[in-house]
Parts: sequence; structure tokens; C-alpha cells
Amino acid sequence: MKQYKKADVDIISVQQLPSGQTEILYQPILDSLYYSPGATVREDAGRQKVSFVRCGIKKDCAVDVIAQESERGQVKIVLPSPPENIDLVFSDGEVRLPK
Amino acid sequence: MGNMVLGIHSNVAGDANDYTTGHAWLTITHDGVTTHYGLWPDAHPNVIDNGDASDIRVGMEASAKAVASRYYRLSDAQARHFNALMKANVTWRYTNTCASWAGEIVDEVVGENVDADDWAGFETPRELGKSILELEAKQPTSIISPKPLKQNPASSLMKHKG
Repeated sequence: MKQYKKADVDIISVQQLPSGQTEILYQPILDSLYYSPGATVREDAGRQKVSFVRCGIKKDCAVDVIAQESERGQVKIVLPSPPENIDLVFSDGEVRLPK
Repeated sequence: MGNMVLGIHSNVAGDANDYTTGHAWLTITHDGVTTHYGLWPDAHPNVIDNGDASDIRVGMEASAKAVASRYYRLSDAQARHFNALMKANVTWRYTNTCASWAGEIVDEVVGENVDADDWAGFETPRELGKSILELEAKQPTSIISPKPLKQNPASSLMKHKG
């Protein structure tokens, strides 16, 4: 299982849902041999550290949050936390979830 | 059918990218409308496994960002040739990747070699992207200023008639 670099992923939209959950729509780099089945989540010092999973097309990769149906390579996930508690973790660093 | 521009694209270029990373594809732009063509393995979760039908898919790359692109003006004959090639039944394999296919189509239609050969004999998007950038450095192109036709076979045939 690989991780994306920051430049490999575009965050298309971030929405806080009425339930308090956070919906993220993201577009990973188009890969012939990989796809994103979702994300892993771990808690660290009160913050949710979210990594978008980059999985080989013939592999099964464990995720904590499963990606929902998407179009044109865009991926949607719903996280249990509000947006202000979320950091995105990439192979080349972390960023706070953009609003 | 005139005024068509063929594009070849990759979203990675060079060895800074992993060997298996990225994707390469083709575009045709006609009267301001761009259609995207790419070769995809049936095993990819983002494509419908169509069994023995062609692995050439249309529209998958519409939201993709290329880091390397090159453009060619097509004659009517070349445009017809391209369209015929897009109707062929082509299978994605490790020895016939998106990059090798895209490069071969450009070579067959316009006669320019866009090399995608990486180590161990496999053809990769990163190598195709690197080759595109090298060609662009020598002769830049864009969608509004594509590489011009050397010769239009269709029109040269017309001139010799009668």
C-alpha cells in the first residue's frame, strides 16, 4: 500500500454534514495501476490524521473509511469528525484540512 | 473533418516519479471540443470490465492534469486514420501499456516517435512524459499552435487529379 504525495491529490470540496461528519471529495492523480479505495484514520493528540490510500489495482488494501461511488476519478469519503479536527497525511508531510 | 488536433499527454515525467506511477492518454480536439482516449486494464476498479472488448476507453481523463503534452495538426486523412485506430480492439497488457499505446498511435498517425521505453523494456508514462518534454523543448506546441502538417496527403492527391 502506498501513500500519495501532497501534489498527487486535489481536494475538490469539504463539507460539514448536518450530522457533524465531514464529507471530503478528492481527486487523486490518475494512475493506470493504482486507485484509492478510501482512507485510513488514526487519532493523535486529539486530531484525526487521515491518509488517502493508494492501492494497486490487483491488491486489497485495508481502509478505515471506504470510498463512495465517484465519477471521473473523484473519490468521496465521509469522516466522523468535524473538519477543524482533521489533518491530511501524505508521504511528504501533513496539511490541515482546507476549508 | 478538418481542423483536428491530436494531443498526447502524461501526468508524470522523468525518474523522480515511480516506475509504475501515472497515466498517459490521447486527445482529439475538433471545433473546440476535446475527446479523451486512454488504454486501461480491465482490472482497474474505475473502469467497467468489458471482457474481450477493447480496452480503449473514452472520457476517463477529462479531469486529469497533464504535466507533459504535445499537439499535432491532423490532415483529413490522418484524422480518419486516427478515428479508425480508436475503433480497434486493443488489450491493455504489461507489454502494451497506456504509454506504449499512446506513443504508437502518434507514431502511426503523424510519424513522430515519442519514446516511452523505460528500464527492463517496459514502456511507462514517466518515460513518455520525459520524451514529450524533450520534444517540446526543441519545438514547442500547444493546442492552439500544434505541430503543423509536413504534408497533407489528402490535399496533395487532390492537386494531382484531372
